[in-house]
Amino acid sequence: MLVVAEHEQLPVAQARAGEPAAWDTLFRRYQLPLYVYVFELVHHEQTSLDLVQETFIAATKHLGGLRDDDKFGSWLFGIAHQKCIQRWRRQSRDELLRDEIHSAPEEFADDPSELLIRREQEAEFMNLLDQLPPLQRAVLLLYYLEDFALEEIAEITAAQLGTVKSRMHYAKKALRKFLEEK
Amino acid sequence: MKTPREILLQHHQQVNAKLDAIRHTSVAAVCDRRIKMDATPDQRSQTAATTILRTLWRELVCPSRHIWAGIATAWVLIVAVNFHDRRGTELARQDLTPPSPEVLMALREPERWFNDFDGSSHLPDADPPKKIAPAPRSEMRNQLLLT
Repeated sequence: MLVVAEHEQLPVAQARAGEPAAWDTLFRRYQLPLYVYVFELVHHEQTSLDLVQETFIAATKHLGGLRDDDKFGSWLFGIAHQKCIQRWRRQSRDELLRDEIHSAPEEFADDPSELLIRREQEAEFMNLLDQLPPLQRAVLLLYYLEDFALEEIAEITAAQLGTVKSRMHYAKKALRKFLEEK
Repeated sequence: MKTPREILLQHHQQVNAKLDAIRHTSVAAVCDRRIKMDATPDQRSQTAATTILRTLWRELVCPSRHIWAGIATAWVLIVAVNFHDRRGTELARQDLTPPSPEVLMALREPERWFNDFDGSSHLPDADPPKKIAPAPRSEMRNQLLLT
């Protein structure tokens, strides 16, 4: 069972010193979640691979800008998110603006690992994810993939905390509706 | 039953091999950067020189490469023509064989006759001209009056 390790010790300090083995460990840890996140946003395999590589290269160049080693994960996802945004901007902004709903959201206290999906629902879950507006999808992916806190998601997506809560609210509402119907 | 995370990661498991390749490339870039940082000052200056040359090549040569290629071709042609001309001259010089001693003797014979006839070859060498210091102008006037 794949579970996000709590308080995992990542060799960020060694990576700062330029140790290739440390970078290898860090990239190995994040390569698949990062790819899943990027792919679910851009829906193109080669583009996603390119963006993951660009993210890794940018990380090796700009690690000096990371103030807190414990936030390496959210920092890395933040780089990837910015690269996805740049990609979207080149395509169209219309889809991005679809999910800007400014109603007051409810708080979410549930754990991402508590939501369990039956095998026969997996394909529908992936389809539902695709149907969500990109920024709602981004928030949900960050929440489910790496169990990031809302504050961290706000930092990664460079959005206000309220906006992130709103996006999360509507994304989860759609997911619940789907699970209840099935 | 699976969590959304498990579903998402398993859905994309097949791309792991490609991600491994990307990881290796990225780590290799880190190694390259470390090698550059660890390089001696000489190596660093060499790298800087290479960078400058590359930049010049990229910024100066590449944008107008057709013009540069034309100029280079013209120079090659000029050098080729010059080389060809020089070689032709040398060959022509080599073709001129030196005259035989008999011919040289025959050529010098009239000169010897002329010298014998003129007798100039037996005359002693003339004395070098005497250096006469000019007399003062007053003495020159006295001499003129006397004459």
